[in-house]
Amino acid sequence: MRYGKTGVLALADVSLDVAPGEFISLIGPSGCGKTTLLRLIGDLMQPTAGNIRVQGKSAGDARRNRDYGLVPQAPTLYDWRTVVKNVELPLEIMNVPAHERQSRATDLLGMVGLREFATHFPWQLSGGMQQRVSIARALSFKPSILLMDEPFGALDEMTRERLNGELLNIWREIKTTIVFVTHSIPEAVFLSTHVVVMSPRPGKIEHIISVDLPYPRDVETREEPRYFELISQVREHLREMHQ
Amino acid sequence: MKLRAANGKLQVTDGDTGTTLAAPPSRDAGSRNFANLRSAMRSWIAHLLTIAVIVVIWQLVAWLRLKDLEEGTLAYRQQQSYLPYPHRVFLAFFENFDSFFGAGVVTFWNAFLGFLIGGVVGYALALLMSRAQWVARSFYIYIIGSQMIPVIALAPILYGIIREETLLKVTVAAYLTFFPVTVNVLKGLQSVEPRALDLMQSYAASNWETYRKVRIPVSLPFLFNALKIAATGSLIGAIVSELMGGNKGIGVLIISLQYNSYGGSDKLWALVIEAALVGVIFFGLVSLAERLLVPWQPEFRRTQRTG
Repeated sequence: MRYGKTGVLALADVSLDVAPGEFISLIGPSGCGKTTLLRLIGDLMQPTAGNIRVQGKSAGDARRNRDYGLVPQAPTLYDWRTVVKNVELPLEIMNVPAHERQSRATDLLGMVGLREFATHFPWQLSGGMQQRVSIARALSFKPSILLMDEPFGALDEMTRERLNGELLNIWREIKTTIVFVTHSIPEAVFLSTHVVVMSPRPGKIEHIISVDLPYPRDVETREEPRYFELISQVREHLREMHQ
Repeated sequence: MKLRAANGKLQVTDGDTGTTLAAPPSRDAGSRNFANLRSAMRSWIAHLLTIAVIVVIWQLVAWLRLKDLEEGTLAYRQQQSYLPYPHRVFLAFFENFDSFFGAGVVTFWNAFLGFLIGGVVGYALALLMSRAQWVARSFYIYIIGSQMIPVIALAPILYGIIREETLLKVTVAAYLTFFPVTVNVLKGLQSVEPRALDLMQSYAASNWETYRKVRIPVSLPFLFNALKIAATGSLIGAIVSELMGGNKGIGVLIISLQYNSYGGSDKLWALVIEAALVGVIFFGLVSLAERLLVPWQPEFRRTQRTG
Protein backbone atom coordinates (compact mmCIF):
# COMPACT_ATOMS: atom_id res chain seq x y z
CA MET A 1 0.00 0.00 0.00
CA ARG A 2 1.33 3.35 -0.96
CA TYR A 3 0.20 6.54 0.54
CA GLY A 4 0.81 10.22 0.00
CA LYS A 5 1.71 12.45 -2.93
CA THR A 6 5.37 11.60 -2.63
CA GLY A 7 4.48 7.97 -2.89
CA VAL A 8 6.31 6.84 0.20
CA LEU A 9 5.70 3.18 0.67
CA ALA A 10 4.09 3.22 4.08
CA LEU A 11 2.93 -0.35 4.23
CA ALA A 12 3.83 -3.37 2.15
CA ASP A 13 2.23 -6.80 2.00
CA VAL A 14 0.23 -6.28 5.11
CA SER A 15 -2.29 -8.98 5.70
CA LEU A 16 -4.22 -9.17 8.90
CA ASP A 17 -7.37 -11.01 9.85
CA VAL A 18 -9.26 -9.89 12.88
CA ALA A 19 -12.05 -12.01 14.30
CA PRO A 20 -15.03 -10.35 16.01
CA GLY A 21 -14.48 -9.66 19.69
CA GLU A 22 -10.70 -9.78 19.50
CA PHE A 23 -8.46 -7.21 21.06
CA ILE A 24 -5.60 -6.55 18.64
CA SER A 25 -2.62 -4.37 19.46
CA LEU A 26 -0.38 -2.95 16.76
CA ILE A 27 3.10 -2.33 18.07
CA GLY A 28 6.33 -1.28 16.44
CA PRO A 29 8.91 1.48 16.28
CA SER A 30 7.75 4.91 15.14
CA GLY A 31 7.41 5.09 11.37
CA CYS A 32 6.33 1.46 11.07
CA GLY A 33 2.93 2.50 9.75
CA LYS A 34 0.83 1.33 12.66
CA THR A 35 -1.19 4.55 12.72
CA THR A 36 -1.42 4.43 8.93
CA LEU A 37 -2.82 0.92 9.14
CA LEU A 38 -5.38 2.07 11.71
CA ARG A 39 -6.39 4.99 9.50
CA LEU A 40 -6.74 2.67 6.51
CA ILE A 41 -8.99 0.35 8.47
CA GLY A 42 -11.07 3.34 9.60
CA ASP A 43 -11.34 4.72 6.05
CA LEU A 44 -9.68 7.96 7.10
CA MET A 45 -7.18 7.21 4.35
CA GLN A 46 -7.45 5.15 1.18
CA PRO A 47 -4.94 2.42 0.29
CA THR A 48 -3.27 2.70 -3.11
CA ALA A 49 -3.48 -1.04 -3.48
CA GLY A 50 -5.07 -3.88 -1.62
CA ASN A 51 -8.34 -3.86 0.22
CA ILE A 52 -9.91 -3.94 3.60
CA ARG A 53 -13.03 -5.91 4.33
CA VAL A 54 -15.00 -5.40 7.48
CA GLN A 55 -17.77 -7.90 8.05
CA GLY A 56 -17.99 -8.34 4.28
CA LYS A 57 -18.10 -4.58 3.65
CA SER A 58 -15.44 -2.23 2.36
CA ALA A 59 -13.82 0.10 4.89
CA GLY A 60 -15.75 3.03 3.37
CA ASP A 61 -19.08 1.26 3.71
CA ALA A 62 -18.24 0.25 7.26
CA ARG A 63 -17.46 3.86 8.13
CA ARG A 64 -20.66 5.12 6.54
CA ASN A 65 -22.48 2.39 8.43
CA ARG A 66 -20.97 3.80 11.63
CA ASP A 67 -19.12 0.63 12.51
CA TYR A 68 -16.07 2.47 13.82
CA GLY A 69 -15.62 4.17 17.15
CA LEU A 70 -12.48 6.29 16.98
CA VAL A 71 -10.36 7.18 20.00
CA PRO A 72 -7.58 9.49 18.80
CA GLN A 73 -4.22 10.15 20.45
CA ALA A 74 -5.39 13.33 22.15
CA PRO A 75 -8.87 13.47 23.72
CA THR A 76 -10.06 16.09 21.16
CA LEU A 77 -13.04 17.19 23.20
CA TYR A 78 -14.94 20.37 22.39
CA ASP A 79 -14.45 23.16 24.89
CA TRP A 80 -17.87 24.68 24.20
CA ARG A 81 -19.67 21.50 25.21
CA THR A 82 -20.00 19.99 28.64
CA VAL A 83 -18.69 16.46 29.20
CA VAL A 84 -22.13 14.89 28.69
CA LYS A 85 -22.76 17.00 25.57
CA ASN A 86 -19.41 15.86 24.18
CA VAL A 87 -20.47 12.24 24.60
CA GLU A 88 -23.81 13.04 22.94
CA LEU A 89 -22.26 14.69 19.89
CA PRO A 90 -22.08 11.60 17.65
CA LEU A 91 -25.65 10.76 18.63
CA GLU A 92 -26.81 14.24 17.61
CA ILE A 93 -25.30 13.68 14.20
CA MET A 94 -27.02 10.30 14.00
CA ASN A 95 -30.37 11.91 14.87
CA VAL A 96 -30.91 9.94 18.06
CA PRO A 97 -33.81 11.47 20.07
CA ALA A 98 -32.76 13.75 22.92
CA HIS A 99 -33.95 11.60 25.83
CA GLU A 100 -32.19 8.54 24.47
CA ARG A 101 -29.01 10.53 23.85
CA GLN A 102 -29.05 11.71 27.39
CA SER A 103 -29.66 8.32 28.96
CA ARG A 104 -26.98 6.65 26.83
CA ALA A 105 -24.43 9.35 27.58
CA THR A 106 -25.18 9.16 31.29
CA ASP A 107 -24.80 5.37 31.27
CA LEU A 108 -21.47 5.59 29.47
CA LEU A 109 -20.17 8.26 31.81
CA GLY A 110 -21.10 5.93 34.65
CA MET A 111 -19.19 3.14 32.93
CA VAL A 112 -16.02 5.25 32.75
CA GLY A 113 -16.57 6.54 36.29
CA LEU A 114 -17.32 10.16 35.46
CA ARG A 115 -21.04 10.46 36.13
CA GLU A 116 -20.59 13.29 38.61
CA PHE A 117 -18.50 15.23 36.08
CA ALA A 118 -21.24 15.26 33.42
CA THR A 119 -21.82 19.00 33.60
CA HIS A 120 -18.14 19.94 33.84
CA PHE A 121 -16.32 21.36 30.87
CA PRO A 122 -13.45 19.34 29.32
CA TRP A 123 -10.80 21.82 30.41
CA GLN A 124 -11.83 21.28 34.01
CA LEU A 125 -10.76 17.62 33.82
CA SER A 126 -7.36 15.95 34.07
CA GLY A 127 -5.77 14.30 31.04
CA GLY A 128 -6.84 10.82 32.15
CA MET A 129 -10.43 11.92 32.72
CA GLN A 130 -10.53 13.61 29.32
CA GLN A 131 -9.38 10.42 27.63
CA ARG A 132 -12.13 8.46 29.43
CA VAL A 133 -14.67 10.95 28.06
CA SER A 134 -13.19 10.35 24.61
CA ILE A 135 -13.70 6.59 25.06
CA ALA A 136 -17.28 7.08 26.25
CA ARG A 137 -17.94 9.27 23.22
CA ALA A 138 -16.55 6.61 20.85
CA LEU A 139 -18.80 4.00 22.44
CA SER A 140 -21.93 6.18 22.41
CA PHE A 141 -23.26 4.89 19.10
CA LYS A 142 -22.36 1.25 19.82
CA PRO A 143 -19.82 0.76 17.04
CA SER A 144 -18.81 -2.82 16.32
CA ILE A 145 -15.10 -1.92 16.12
CA LEU A 146 -13.17 0.42 18.35
CA LEU A 147 -10.09 1.99 16.74
CA MET A 148 -7.72 3.38 19.36
CA ASP A 149 -4.62 5.29 18.39
CA GLU A 150 -2.20 5.42 21.33
CA PRO A 151 -4.99 6.72 23.53
CA PHE A 152 -2.98 6.50 26.74
CA GLY A 153 0.39 7.56 25.30
CA ALA A 154 0.37 10.97 26.96
CA LEU A 155 -0.63 9.74 30.41
CA ASP A 156 1.53 8.96 33.40
CA GLU A 157 2.25 5.29 34.13
CA MET A 158 -0.15 4.98 37.07
CA THR A 159 -3.09 6.49 35.25
CA ARG A 160 -2.27 4.45 32.21
CA GLU A 161 -2.32 1.15 34.10
CA ARG A 162 -5.60 2.03 35.73
CA LEU A 163 -7.18 2.98 32.41
CA ASN A 164 -5.85 -0.27 30.89
CA GLY A 165 -7.79 -2.17 33.55
CA GLU A 166 -10.91 -0.09 32.97
CA LEU A 167 -10.68 -0.54 29.21
CA LEU A 168 -10.54 -4.33 29.61
CA ASN A 169 -13.63 -4.25 31.81
CA ILE A 170 -15.49 -2.17 29.23
CA TRP A 171 -14.37 -4.42 26.39
CA ARG A 172 -15.54 -7.53 28.22
CA GLU A 173 -18.84 -5.87 29.03
CA ILE A 174 -19.74 -4.63 25.55
CA LYS A 175 -17.92 -7.38 23.58
CA THR A 176 -16.63 -5.13 20.83
CA THR A 177 -13.62 -5.66 18.59
CA ILE A 178 -10.69 -3.39 19.40
CA VAL A 179 -7.71 -2.42 17.26
CA PHE A 180 -5.28 -0.64 19.51
CA VAL A 181 -2.10 1.17 18.45
CA THR A 182 0.57 1.49 21.11
CA HIS A 183 4.29 1.75 21.60
CA SER A 184 4.19 0.28 25.07
CA ILE A 185 5.06 -3.42 25.22
CA PRO A 186 3.51 -4.09 28.66
CA GLU A 187 0.33 -2.31 27.63
CA ALA A 188 0.04 -4.36 24.44
CA VAL A 189 0.56 -7.66 26.29
CA PHE A 190 -1.73 -6.79 29.18
CA LEU A 191 -4.66 -5.79 26.99
CA SER A 192 -4.61 -7.89 23.87
CA THR A 193 -5.72 -11.23 22.62
CA HIS A 194 -3.13 -10.80 19.86
CA VAL A 195 -0.11 -8.52 19.59
CA VAL A 196 0.87 -7.58 16.04
CA VAL A 197 4.56 -6.67 15.80
CA MET A 198 5.36 -4.37 12.89
CA SER A 199 8.65 -3.29 11.30
CA PRO A 200 9.33 0.06 9.65
CA ARG A 201 10.02 1.38 6.14
CA PRO A 202 8.12 -0.14 4.55
CA GLY A 203 5.71 -1.15 7.28
CA LYS A 204 5.35 -4.89 7.50
CA ILE A 205 3.74 -7.30 9.89
CA GLU A 206 6.60 -9.36 11.30
CA HIS A 207 4.91 -11.43 13.98
CA ILE A 208 1.52 -12.03 15.45
CA ILE A 209 1.73 -13.21 19.02
CA SER A 210 -1.26 -14.81 20.72
CA VAL A 211 -1.47 -13.73 24.31
CA ASP A 212 -2.65 -16.73 26.29
CA LEU A 213 -3.11 -14.97 29.59
CA PRO A 214 -6.59 -15.73 30.90
CA TYR A 215 -9.21 -13.02 31.32
CA PRO A 216 -10.20 -11.29 33.53
CA ARG A 217 -6.79 -9.74 33.79
CA ASP A 218 -6.05 -7.50 36.72
CA VAL A 219 -3.22 -6.20 38.87
CA GLU A 220 -2.11 -9.78 39.60
CA THR A 221 -1.75 -10.53 35.90
CA ARG A 222 1.04 -8.01 35.86
CA GLU A 223 2.99 -10.18 38.33
CA GLU A 224 2.63 -13.51 36.55
CA PRO A 225 5.70 -15.18 35.00
CA ARG A 226 3.82 -15.79 31.74
CA TYR A 227 3.15 -12.03 31.48
CA PHE A 228 6.87 -11.32 31.71
CA GLU A 229 7.70 -14.09 29.23
CA LEU A 230 5.34 -12.58 26.68
CA ILE A 231 6.78 -9.12 27.24
CA SER A 232 10.28 -10.50 26.62
CA GLN A 233 9.08 -12.27 23.52
CA VAL A 234 7.61 -9.07 22.03
CA ARG A 235 10.71 -7.13 23.03
CA GLU A 236 12.99 -9.64 21.29
CA HIS A 237 10.94 -9.46 18.09
CA LEU A 238 11.21 -5.69 18.16
CA ARG A 239 14.95 -5.85 18.79
CA GLU A 240 15.55 -8.26 15.89
CA MET A 241 14.47 -5.55 13.47
CA HIS A 242 17.25 -3.27 14.49
CA GLN A 243 19.91 -5.83 13.69
CA MET B 1 -1.32 11.55 42.77
CA LYS B 2 -0.09 14.92 41.63
CA LEU B 3 1.60 17.88 43.16
CA ARG B 4 0.22 21.04 41.78
CA ALA B 5 0.82 24.70 42.39
CA ALA B 6 -2.45 26.57 42.70
CA ASN B 7 -2.55 30.25 43.48
CA GLY B 8 1.17 30.01 44.08
CA LYS B 9 0.70 27.29 46.70
CA LEU B 10 1.36 23.61 46.48
CA GLN B 11 -1.54 21.24 46.46
CA VAL B 12 -1.63 17.44 46.31
CA THR B 13 -4.32 15.93 44.10
CA ASP B 14 -5.12 12.46 42.89
CA GLY B 15 -3.84 12.36 39.32
CA ASP B 16 -6.93 10.88 37.86
CA THR B 17 -10.01 11.53 39.90
CA GLY B 18 -8.83 15.02 40.66
CA THR B 19 -9.84 14.90 44.28
CA THR B 20 -7.75 17.10 46.49
CA LEU B 21 -5.83 14.99 48.95
CA ALA B 22 -3.96 17.74 50.69
CA ALA B 23 -3.90 21.46 50.25
CA PRO B 24 -2.82 24.44 52.27
CA PRO B 25 -5.66 26.24 54.01
CA SER B 26 -7.22 28.16 51.18
CA ARG B 27 -8.04 31.80 51.58
CA ASP B 28 -11.66 32.18 52.61
CA ALA B 29 -14.21 33.91 50.42
CA GLY B 30 -13.93 37.12 52.42
CA SER B 31 -10.26 37.58 51.80
CA ARG B 32 -10.70 36.64 48.15
CA ASN B 33 -13.40 39.28 47.75
CA PHE B 34 -11.12 41.73 49.43
CA ALA B 35 -8.34 40.88 46.95
CA ASN B 36 -10.74 41.41 44.06
CA LEU B 37 -11.84 44.73 45.49
CA ARG B 38 -8.24 45.79 45.88
CA SER B 39 -7.43 44.91 42.30
CA ALA B 40 -10.54 46.80 41.08
CA MET B 41 -9.55 49.81 43.16
CA ARG B 42 -6.04 49.71 41.75
CA SER B 43 -7.34 49.80 38.22
CA TRP B 44 -9.64 52.73 39.04
CA ILE B 45 -6.79 54.63 40.61
CA ALA B 46 -4.72 53.98 37.48
CA HIS B 47 -7.56 55.39 35.35
CA LEU B 48 -7.87 58.49 37.47
CA LEU B 49 -4.12 59.06 37.44
CA THR B 50 -3.99 58.73 33.65
CA ILE B 51 -6.81 61.25 33.25
CA ALA B 52 -5.13 63.61 35.74
CA VAL B 53 -1.80 63.46 33.89
CA ILE B 54 -3.51 64.11 30.53
CA VAL B 55 -5.46 67.06 31.94
CA VAL B 56 -2.37 68.60 33.53
CA ILE B 57 -0.31 68.34 30.32
CA TRP B 58 -3.26 69.65 28.31
CA GLN B 59 -3.73 72.58 30.66
CA LEU B 60 -0.05 73.41 30.45
CA VAL B 61 0.15 73.29 26.64
CA ALA B 62 -3.10 75.26 26.31
CA TRP B 63 -1.68 77.92 28.61
CA LEU B 64 1.58 78.11 26.64
CA ARG B 65 -0.26 78.45 23.32
CA LEU B 66 -2.54 81.17 24.66
CA LYS B 67 0.47 83.09 26.06
CA ASP B 68 2.10 83.21 22.60
CA LEU B 69 -0.96 84.84 21.06
CA GLU B 70 -0.83 88.47 22.09
CA GLU B 71 -3.33 90.34 19.93
CA GLY B 72 -7.08 90.49 20.16
CA THR B 73 -9.66 89.76 22.80
CA LEU B 74 -9.47 86.69 25.00
CA ALA B 75 -12.31 85.02 23.07
CA TYR B 76 -10.50 85.66 19.77
CA ARG B 77 -7.24 84.30 21.14
CA GLN B 78 -8.95 81.26 22.51
CA GLN B 79 -10.42 80.66 19.07
CA GLN B 80 -7.00 81.03 17.43
CA SER B 81 -5.18 78.78 19.86
CA TYR B 82 -7.14 75.69 18.75
CA LEU B 83 -6.38 74.16 22.11
CA PRO B 84 -8.89 75.40 24.67
CA TYR B 85 -8.52 74.68 28.34
CA PRO B 86 -9.93 71.26 29.28
CA HIS B 87 -12.64 72.74 31.52
CA ARG B 88 -13.94 74.76 28.55
CA VAL B 89 -14.24 71.55 26.52
CA PHE B 90 -16.07 69.96 29.40
CA LEU B 91 -18.43 72.92 29.64
CA ALA B 92 -18.96 72.98 25.86
CA PHE B 93 -20.04 69.36 26.01
CA PHE B 94 -22.65 69.95 28.70
CA GLU B 95 -23.89 73.24 27.25
CA ASN B 96 -24.59 71.43 23.98
CA PHE B 97 -25.44 68.09 25.54
CA ASP B 98 -28.75 67.57 23.71
CA SER B 99 -27.42 68.15 20.21
CA PHE B 100 -24.09 66.39 20.83
CA PHE B 101 -25.70 63.39 22.49
CA GLY B 102 -28.29 63.16 19.71
CA ALA B 103 -25.54 63.28 17.08
CA GLY B 104 -23.61 60.56 18.90
CA VAL B 105 -26.67 58.30 18.99
CA VAL B 106 -27.31 58.78 15.27
CA THR B 107 -23.69 58.08 14.35
CA PHE B 108 -23.58 55.04 16.59
CA TRP B 109 -26.76 53.47 15.20
CA ASN B 110 -25.71 54.05 11.60
CA ALA B 111 -22.28 52.60 12.26
CA PHE B 112 -23.85 49.69 14.14
CA LEU B 113 -26.27 48.88 11.33
CA GLY B 114 -23.41 48.88 8.82
CA PHE B 115 -21.37 46.81 11.26
CA LEU B 116 -24.10 44.16 11.43
CA ILE B 117 -24.57 44.05 7.66
CA GLY B 118 -20.79 43.96 7.08
CA GLY B 119 -20.46 41.21 9.69
CA VAL B 120 -23.10 39.02 8.05
CA VAL B 121 -21.73 39.60 4.55
CA GLY B 122 -18.16 39.03 5.75
CA TYR B 123 -19.09 35.79 7.51
CA ALA B 124 -21.04 34.50 4.50
CA LEU B 125 -18.11 35.28 2.25
CA ALA B 126 -15.74 33.41 4.57
CA LEU B 127 -18.08 30.38 4.58
CA LEU B 128 -18.20 30.43 0.81
CA MET B 129 -14.44 30.80 0.52
CA SER B 130 -13.79 27.96 2.96
CA ARG B 131 -16.12 25.68 1.00
CA ALA B 132 -14.62 26.21 -2.42
CA GLN B 133 -10.95 26.72 -3.09
CA TRP B 134 -11.60 28.42 -6.41
CA VAL B 135 -13.81 31.02 -4.76
CA ALA B 136 -11.09 31.74 -2.23
CA ARG B 137 -8.37 31.93 -4.85
CA SER B 138 -10.30 34.21 -7.19
CA PHE B 139 -11.82 36.54 -4.58
CA TYR B 140 -9.06 37.00 -2.06
CA ILE B 141 -6.96 39.40 -4.10
CA TYR B 142 -9.96 41.68 -4.81
CA ILE B 143 -10.99 41.65 -1.18
CA ILE B 144 -7.50 42.74 -0.16
CA GLY B 145 -7.41 45.32 -2.97
CA SER B 146 -10.74 46.77 -1.85
CA GLN B 147 -9.22 47.62 1.52
CA MET B 148 -6.30 49.49 -0.02
CA ILE B 149 -8.64 52.34 -1.06
CA PRO B 150 -8.65 55.04 1.64
CA VAL B 151 -12.15 55.70 3.01
CA ILE B 152 -11.56 59.43 2.77
CA ALA B 153 -11.16 59.02 -1.00
CA LEU B 154 -13.98 56.55 -1.42
CA ALA B 155 -16.63 58.31 0.66
CA PRO B 156 -17.07 61.39 -1.60
CA ILE B 157 -17.31 59.15 -4.68
CA LEU B 158 -19.93 56.97 -3.03
CA TYR B 159 -21.74 60.08 -1.85
CA GLY B 160 -21.92 61.25 -5.44
CA ILE B 161 -23.59 57.96 -6.35
CA ILE B 162 -25.74 57.21 -3.33
CA ARG B 163 -26.81 60.76 -2.36
CA GLU B 164 -28.55 59.57 0.78
CA GLU B 165 -26.72 60.17 4.03
CA THR B 166 -27.91 57.19 6.08
CA LEU B 167 -27.44 54.73 3.25
CA LEU B 168 -23.96 56.11 2.62
CA LYS B 169 -22.92 55.76 6.26
CA VAL B 170 -24.27 52.25 6.54
CA THR B 171 -22.57 51.24 3.29
CA VAL B 172 -19.18 52.62 4.31
CA ALA B 173 -19.41 51.09 7.81
CA ALA B 174 -20.34 47.72 6.29
CA TYR B 175 -17.51 48.04 3.78
CA LEU B 176 -15.00 48.53 6.58
CA THR B 177 -16.43 45.66 8.63
CA PHE B 178 -16.62 42.83 6.13
CA PHE B 179 -12.88 42.68 5.46
CA PRO B 180 -11.52 41.86 8.94
CA VAL B 181 -14.49 39.51 9.43
CA THR B 182 -13.84 37.58 6.21
CA VAL B 183 -10.10 37.28 6.77
CA ASN B 184 -10.37 36.22 10.42
CA VAL B 185 -13.35 33.90 10.07
CA LEU B 186 -11.80 32.15 7.09
CA LYS B 187 -8.75 31.50 9.24
CA GLY B 188 -11.03 30.28 12.04
CA LEU B 189 -13.02 27.92 9.84
CA GLN B 190 -9.73 26.38 8.72
CA SER B 191 -8.26 26.16 12.22
CA VAL B 192 -10.03 22.94 13.18
CA GLU B 193 -7.67 20.22 14.42
CA PRO B 194 -7.28 17.39 11.87
CA ARG B 195 -8.17 14.95 14.66
CA ALA B 196 -11.52 16.66 15.15
CA LEU B 197 -12.22 16.24 11.44
CA ASP B 198 -11.21 12.56 11.63
CA LEU B 199 -13.78 12.12 14.37
CA MET B 200 -16.52 13.78 12.32
CA GLN B 201 -15.58 11.52 9.42
CA SER B 202 -15.82 8.47 11.66
CA TYR B 203 -19.40 9.52 12.52
CA ALA B 204 -20.06 9.78 8.77
CA ALA B 205 -21.11 13.38 9.42
CA SER B 206 -22.12 15.48 6.43
CA ASN B 207 -20.20 18.60 5.48
CA TRP B 208 -22.98 20.76 6.83
CA GLU B 209 -22.92 18.93 10.18
CA THR B 210 -19.16 19.34 10.37
CA TYR B 211 -19.67 23.07 9.91
CA ARG B 212 -22.48 23.29 12.40
CA LYS B 213 -20.90 21.20 15.13
CA VAL B 214 -17.21 22.01 14.73
CA ARG B 215 -16.06 24.59 12.21
CA ILE B 216 -18.52 27.34 13.10
CA PRO B 217 -18.01 27.10 16.89
CA VAL B 218 -14.23 27.09 16.33
CA SER B 219 -14.54 30.21 14.15
CA LEU B 220 -16.46 32.28 16.73
CA PRO B 221 -13.47 33.53 18.75
CA PHE B 222 -11.93 34.60 15.42
CA LEU B 223 -15.18 36.37 14.51
CA PHE B 224 -15.15 38.38 17.72
CA ASN B 225 -11.54 39.32 17.23
CA ALA B 226 -12.54 40.76 13.87
CA LEU B 227 -15.63 42.46 15.28
CA LYS B 228 -13.51 44.29 17.83
CA ILE B 229 -11.38 45.71 15.03
CA ALA B 230 -14.49 46.48 12.98
CA ALA B 231 -16.25 48.27 15.86
CA THR B 232 -13.84 51.20 15.66
CA GLY B 233 -13.47 50.91 11.89
CA SER B 234 -17.19 51.13 11.21
CA LEU B 235 -17.52 54.16 13.50
CA ILE B 236 -14.71 55.99 11.72
CA GLY B 237 -16.33 55.06 8.40
CA ALA B 238 -19.65 56.55 9.54
CA ILE B 239 -18.03 59.78 10.77
CA VAL B 240 -15.99 60.21 7.59
CA SER B 241 -19.19 59.72 5.57
CA GLU B 242 -20.89 62.40 7.66
CA LEU B 243 -18.13 64.83 6.69
CA MET B 244 -19.40 64.58 3.09
CA GLY B 245 -22.62 66.29 4.03
CA GLY B 246 -25.85 65.39 5.72
CA ASN B 247 -28.00 66.57 8.57
CA LYS B 248 -27.22 64.45 11.60
CA GLY B 249 -24.24 62.91 13.30
CA ILE B 250 -20.93 63.68 14.95
CA GLY B 251 -19.21 64.20 11.58
CA VAL B 252 -21.88 66.70 10.49
CA LEU B 253 -21.32 68.80 13.61
CA ILE B 254 -17.53 68.61 13.21
CA ILE B 255 -17.62 69.83 9.62
CA SER B 256 -20.09 72.64 10.35
CA LEU B 257 -17.98 73.83 13.29
CA GLN B 258 -14.88 73.87 11.11
CA TYR B 259 -16.60 76.06 8.52
CA ASN B 260 -18.08 78.35 11.14
CA SER B 261 -15.13 80.37 12.43
CA TYR B 262 -17.00 81.39 15.59
CA GLY B 263 -18.02 77.86 16.35
CA GLY B 264 -15.24 77.54 18.90
CA SER B 265 -12.58 74.91 19.08
CA ASP B 266 -13.85 73.88 22.51
CA LYS B 267 -16.94 72.40 20.86
CA LEU B 268 -14.78 70.66 18.27
CA TRP B 269 -12.68 69.09 20.97
CA ALA B 270 -15.78 68.03 22.84
CA LEU B 271 -17.01 66.25 19.70
CA VAL B 272 -13.67 64.55 19.11
CA ILE B 273 -13.72 63.23 22.66
CA GLU B 274 -17.33 62.15 22.25
CA ALA B 275 -16.39 60.19 19.13
CA ALA B 276 -13.66 58.45 21.11
CA LEU B 277 -16.10 57.64 23.92
CA VAL B 278 -18.64 56.18 21.48
CA GLY B 279 -15.82 54.04 20.06
CA VAL B 280 -14.88 52.78 23.52
CA ILE B 281 -18.52 51.98 24.32
CA PHE B 282 -18.93 50.15 20.99
CA PHE B 283 -15.79 48.11 21.67
CA GLY B 284 -17.04 47.37 25.18
CA LEU B 285 -20.38 46.12 23.87
CA VAL B 286 -18.64 43.76 21.44
CA SER B 287 -16.42 42.47 24.26
CA LEU B 288 -19.49 41.91 26.43
CA ALA B 289 -21.24 40.03 23.63
CA GLU B 290 -18.15 37.86 23.24
CA ARG B 291 -18.16 37.00 26.92
CA LEU B 292 -21.81 35.97 26.71
CA LEU B 293 -21.73 34.12 23.40
CA VAL B 294 -18.25 32.54 23.37
CA PRO B 295 -17.62 31.95 27.07
CA TRP B 296 -15.45 28.86 26.64
CA GLN B 297 -12.27 30.74 25.73
CA PRO B 298 -9.33 30.32 28.11
CA GLU B 299 -9.30 33.96 29.23
CA PHE B 300 -12.87 33.74 30.53
CA ARG B 301 -12.33 30.56 32.52
CA ARG B 302 -12.79 30.96 36.22
CA THR B 303 -12.65 27.37 37.37
CA GLN B 304 -9.29 25.70 37.58
CA ARG B 305 -8.45 22.29 36.21
CA THR B 306 -9.07 19.61 38.76
CA GLY B 307 -5.95 17.56 38.27
